[in-house]
Amino acid sequence: MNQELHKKTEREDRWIPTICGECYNACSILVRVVNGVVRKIEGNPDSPIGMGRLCPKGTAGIMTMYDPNRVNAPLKRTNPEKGIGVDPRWQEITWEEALATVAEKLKKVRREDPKKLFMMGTTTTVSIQRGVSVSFATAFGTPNHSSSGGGLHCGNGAHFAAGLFHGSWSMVPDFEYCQYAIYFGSSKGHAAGHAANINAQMAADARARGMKLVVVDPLCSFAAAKSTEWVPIRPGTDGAMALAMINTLLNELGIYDAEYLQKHTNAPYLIGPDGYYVKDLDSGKPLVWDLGTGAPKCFDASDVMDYALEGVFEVQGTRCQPAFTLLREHVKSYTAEKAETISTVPAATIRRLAREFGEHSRIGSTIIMDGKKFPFRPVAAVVFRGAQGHKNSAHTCYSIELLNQIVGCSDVVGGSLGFNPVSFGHPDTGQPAFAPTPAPDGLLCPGTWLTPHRIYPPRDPAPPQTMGLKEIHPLGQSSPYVVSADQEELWTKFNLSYRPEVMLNYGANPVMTMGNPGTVIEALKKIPFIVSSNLFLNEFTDLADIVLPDTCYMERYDTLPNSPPILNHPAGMGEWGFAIGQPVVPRQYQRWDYGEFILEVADRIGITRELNAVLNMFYGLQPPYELPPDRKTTREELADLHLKFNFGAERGLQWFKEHGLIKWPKKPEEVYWRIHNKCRVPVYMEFMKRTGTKVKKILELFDVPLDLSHYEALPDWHPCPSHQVKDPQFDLYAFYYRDVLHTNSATMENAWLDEASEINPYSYNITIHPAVGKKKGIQNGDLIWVESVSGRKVRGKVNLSEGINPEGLAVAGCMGHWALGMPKAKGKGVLFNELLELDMNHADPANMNLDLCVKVKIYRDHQGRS
Amino acid sequence: MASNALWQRSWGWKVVLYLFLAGLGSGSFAVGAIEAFSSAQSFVANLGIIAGTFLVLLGTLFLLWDLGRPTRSIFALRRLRVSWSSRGTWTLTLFSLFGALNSILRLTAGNGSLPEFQPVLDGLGVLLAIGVAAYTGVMLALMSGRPMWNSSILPALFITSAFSTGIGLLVALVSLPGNQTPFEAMEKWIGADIVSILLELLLIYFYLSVNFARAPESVRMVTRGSLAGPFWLGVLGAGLLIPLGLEYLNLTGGGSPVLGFVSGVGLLTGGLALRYIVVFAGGRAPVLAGNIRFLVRPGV
Amino acid sequence: MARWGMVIDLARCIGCAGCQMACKAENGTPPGITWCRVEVKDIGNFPAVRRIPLPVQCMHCREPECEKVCPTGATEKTESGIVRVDSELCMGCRACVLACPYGARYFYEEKKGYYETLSLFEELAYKRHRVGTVTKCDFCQERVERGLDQGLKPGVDREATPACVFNCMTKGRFFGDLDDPRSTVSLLVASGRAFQLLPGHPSDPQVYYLTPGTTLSAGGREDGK
Repeated sequence: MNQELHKKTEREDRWIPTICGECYNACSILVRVVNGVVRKIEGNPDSPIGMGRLCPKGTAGIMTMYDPNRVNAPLKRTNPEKGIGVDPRWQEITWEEALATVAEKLKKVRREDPKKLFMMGTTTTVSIQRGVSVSFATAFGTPNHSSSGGGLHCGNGAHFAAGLFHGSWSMVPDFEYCQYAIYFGSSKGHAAGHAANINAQMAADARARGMKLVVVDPLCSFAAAKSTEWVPIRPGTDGAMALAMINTLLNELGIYDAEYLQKHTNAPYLIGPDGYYVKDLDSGKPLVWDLGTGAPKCFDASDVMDYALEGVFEVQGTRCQPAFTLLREHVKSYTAEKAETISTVPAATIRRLAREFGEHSRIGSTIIMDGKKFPFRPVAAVVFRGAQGHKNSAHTCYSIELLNQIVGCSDVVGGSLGFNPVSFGHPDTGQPAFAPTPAPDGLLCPGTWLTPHRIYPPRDPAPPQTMGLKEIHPLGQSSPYVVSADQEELWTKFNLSYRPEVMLNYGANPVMTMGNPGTVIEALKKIPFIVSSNLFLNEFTDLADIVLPDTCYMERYDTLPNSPPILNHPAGMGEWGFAIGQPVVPRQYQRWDYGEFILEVADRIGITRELNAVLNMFYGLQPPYELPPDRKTTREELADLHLKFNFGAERGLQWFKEHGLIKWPKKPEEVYWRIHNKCRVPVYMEFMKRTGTKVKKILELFDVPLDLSHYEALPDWHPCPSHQVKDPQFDLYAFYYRDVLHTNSATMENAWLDEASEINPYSYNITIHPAVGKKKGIQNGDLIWVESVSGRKVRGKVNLSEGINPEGLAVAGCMGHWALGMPKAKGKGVLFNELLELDMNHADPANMNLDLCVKVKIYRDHQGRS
Repeated sequence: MASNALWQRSWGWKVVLYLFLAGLGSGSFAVGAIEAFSSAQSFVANLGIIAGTFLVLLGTLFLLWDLGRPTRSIFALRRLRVSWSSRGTWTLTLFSLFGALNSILRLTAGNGSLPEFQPVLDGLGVLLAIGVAAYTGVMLALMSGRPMWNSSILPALFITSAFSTGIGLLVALVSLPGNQTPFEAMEKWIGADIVSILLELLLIYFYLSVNFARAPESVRMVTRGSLAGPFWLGVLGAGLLIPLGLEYLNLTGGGSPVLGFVSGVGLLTGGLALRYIVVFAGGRAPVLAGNIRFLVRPGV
Repeated sequence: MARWGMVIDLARCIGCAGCQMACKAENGTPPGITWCRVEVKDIGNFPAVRRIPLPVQCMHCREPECEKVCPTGATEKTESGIVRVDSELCMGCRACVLACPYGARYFYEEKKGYYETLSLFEELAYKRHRVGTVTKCDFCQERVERGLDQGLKPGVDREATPACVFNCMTKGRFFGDLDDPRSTVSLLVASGRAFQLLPGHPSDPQVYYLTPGTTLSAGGREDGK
């Protein structure tokens, strides 16, 4: 703890630079402290991460900080019974007792089998979850580290596609130059989401400049509200619409960027009749056909004169075709008319949008930036949570992303940009530096990533020994099986050699955020010992055995939370900015930063050496800025070394505490890196097919049926469970969206945000179309029940709105808390997740993303109007 | 207190009581004072003036109670030139002073010993009473953002109701058993009340029909919504139609003090219900009303 | 003397309520009091429909209705056009709350925080508010005047500009002198995109809105469909 902060001068009134922690974006803020009390939070005008402006959550952070309902001391359960509404009968204990108890349990499981430790972290504070938490798991020896709903709901498809195609966690239109963007279930720049604050500024500028924005979404969302055109699609059918657009572009209009496809994708790779690459017999490299010499060549041969995209060739005695040809033929079955019957979007609209997208891409045009020539493709197709939150997640993201690849607008000026996958580093130190590199088959492997495995090449499938069965889902990240209804059945079938015995949770609330709470609670109740570090006592802590009082972000250090900048650092030109978090006021009560807790526990169980080694690896620290192997480090020391390693000896923690951040201008070659990079991206997902075959073999060993139709190299639209419901009573597609006022379930307790949510009819209500209301005798403000096919139901107040597809029913996500420890959140809004099934039938077989759309019926609550 | 809600919650039952009592008191005063012109110290004159003053003062207590800072109420005299609320405060203050003086004189004077200037005091009292009855209506009528109030019918309705409830109070009191004054003494006032009830019915009809277009939600609330009970049973039934019938009976010879009492109580109930309805139906027009043409261009 | 005014660009606004929060933080307003708030409306019929977020606050009218009803003179229009409430004069009759056609005024009824007890922040922040009086947006008068004293330009320099304006995440709010024909606000008001709420109302708001310019496209429906 900083001694300075203890010295409370009488008329202290100053602004301290630090970072926001209300969501994962970690925007740079200035905090005004008056006599040791936070009086105001503003955006830091000096930082490119926010540019002095702040979203509602950030400003309202004061109310999180000073909420009297926060946990202030370690607590121990005295009631052994766990369940909804069962009082854990908390008893305050000392930190010493908490640490000793936790260390003892951890020592035991580490001795028996480290995999028995299950760790979870909130996606609201990614930097700490990733930093110390993931490193601890690795040092401890458990592969069972998971994010809660944040990953399972929003990321498995979208992050995978962004990683595969852009080397980044997510993507946006190049707001500064883009002229035509089409959003599929995305709100980038209009609500929550990656780099939300800065994207909102840039998107507003883009609108003012005249960028056309088409928003494909069943709800007239805040993004659709600002769109040039809102396309109210049927939920879960975005992939079909995208495939029809691709068909229109390739087969009806003949619009595609051949040069881009030849040089930057695997479109020219030759595919054999078995669906696999035809490879060079010596090097094992995939082959292409060179029209110039009329001969096959390795894809990376420097002397290819003209890559064939079409045709039938004979290589090694077999008949083969370029991947592009296969794609082009494959999408022919996705006529606009077929897509209309699937998606409800008229065929003529699909064709028009495809034509507009193609025409606006200005294939062949270039632009001069900084005296250098870059391709200029001012269009972008953006996919995010809405479109990808379905059982067809992987293929939907793949299909939509192909739109970008076909017109060659990926990571070029005006196109679809990954968030900063390329950095040349600070001019003084050359750090942090990274760029995607080609895998042996030439495909893109991200240069930096948020999880240890960098997506590509995919892991080899293996018999599962992780709780989340990740070994048979090599393309997925977050897994439903850590809490699913069928986990025990699956674990038994796969002969999982252990069961979780200890769970360490950092701030996540899986009870609220993963699926229906009943299923999650049943799974968690089986874990004998749960420790959770939290700001509030919530629905999850009701199942915990020990609760630790977490710090608010204004009470702790956090090193470079915008690094790697592929998640929460603005894309596009401008400046690089790397900030730190620092405590602005003295820490009160017995609150402890989870990071400190982890370091201390590691020390107590004797794995400091391992942990420090992993931390060195994780943060990329090299001598002389490595952590010492032999003693426990601190968050300050770690930050200091991390900062000095990246920005030089003179720029350690002290420098950053004063300056808040470091920044320097981006180079166009960093932002528009595609043409300078040798990586190719897959328009033909050969690896999907390859992986699927391996997964199939393993599943056969254990007699587990899994729908492997999703493991195909070419994109398809697969219906979701909700599309297969035949009972006409269940006539609405229920789905959820992210409220502009909230992050996951974490901000629901914030009193100011609650006040604003009460004014906004889209925060706490169930939105249906007035025609549906009329048909069912439901009026605005009525209390209704929403019931799923499997009988799960939630109740809420109706908001009749013309701004929704009449087939749809929309709810803002992650509300409806019931825990007594969050009185502001309690009883507000609707817990959509109550309707969600958590099992293999409702997860994308390829990437495990949960299906978030449910076919429901609605009826009035007998208590009538609220 | 949230003012962003379209339905007003700023004024509640204390203001309703004030509006009712101030109307009732000023009406009662006016009836008493007019009676005094012909019969200076009759029971009805004394009762009307004294009870009227008392009721206005009682109402004023509710008004003061309702203020956020009652001790600052003296400041309300500062803006006579622009604010109807300030004008009302002056009127109310003067009415209270002169009414109290009038009442004290009447309570202390022996038979025939009222001072010479008494008619002047009574006359001034009537003018001030009309002011007290009317200013709140004018104030509401000028609130342009609340269509249900923003109507020139409202002051007329308030004055008529004040007069009618004032008569109702006196009729009820005179009807009480053991009272020396013959019930017949009230006949001319009952006649006057029939006229004011008919006028009030007409005003309410116009008030609602005019507002049906301007404030449909408010009118719906009154006729069919949460205020329908107080409106149909309170204002129309108990407050207007039943008294009308009973008073007609009284005038045509079929009446009795009992019926007089019932009609008086009915009139008071109706007066209270009317203030309740007016206060709570005073919704604010949405701020976007009329802006649609600025917001969107016609579709393709 | 300047005539302060504000312009809110509905083409930029995404309804995030950042202004509402910036206002809460800057002015430390107690529960239920939102000097600036964001309403959300839907305009049109499916599929030709749009959601319109609308920030609402005191319009600092040239002919303020609230000033006309105020019996004590607590509400007054300053020379620079700011409509302010003198919390030492207000007696809390709330006539102004009802008279304001924009619902921009709030009565501070009792000293109560968001929780059972006042938090450290609330203790500090609520000091400037007087229980039993009416409060509302004052264009961050204190901030603007402090900035002017330092020679800063309101609407341009952060330290002299209302909190909702410099914080706006979509750069959709503008503040400045409406008497200065070259100020950004004057230019925007003259742009042809500006309108006032409740058109035709005599109050003449000094907070203008810029039309979102949304075309109610047929939402994915082609001609003839």
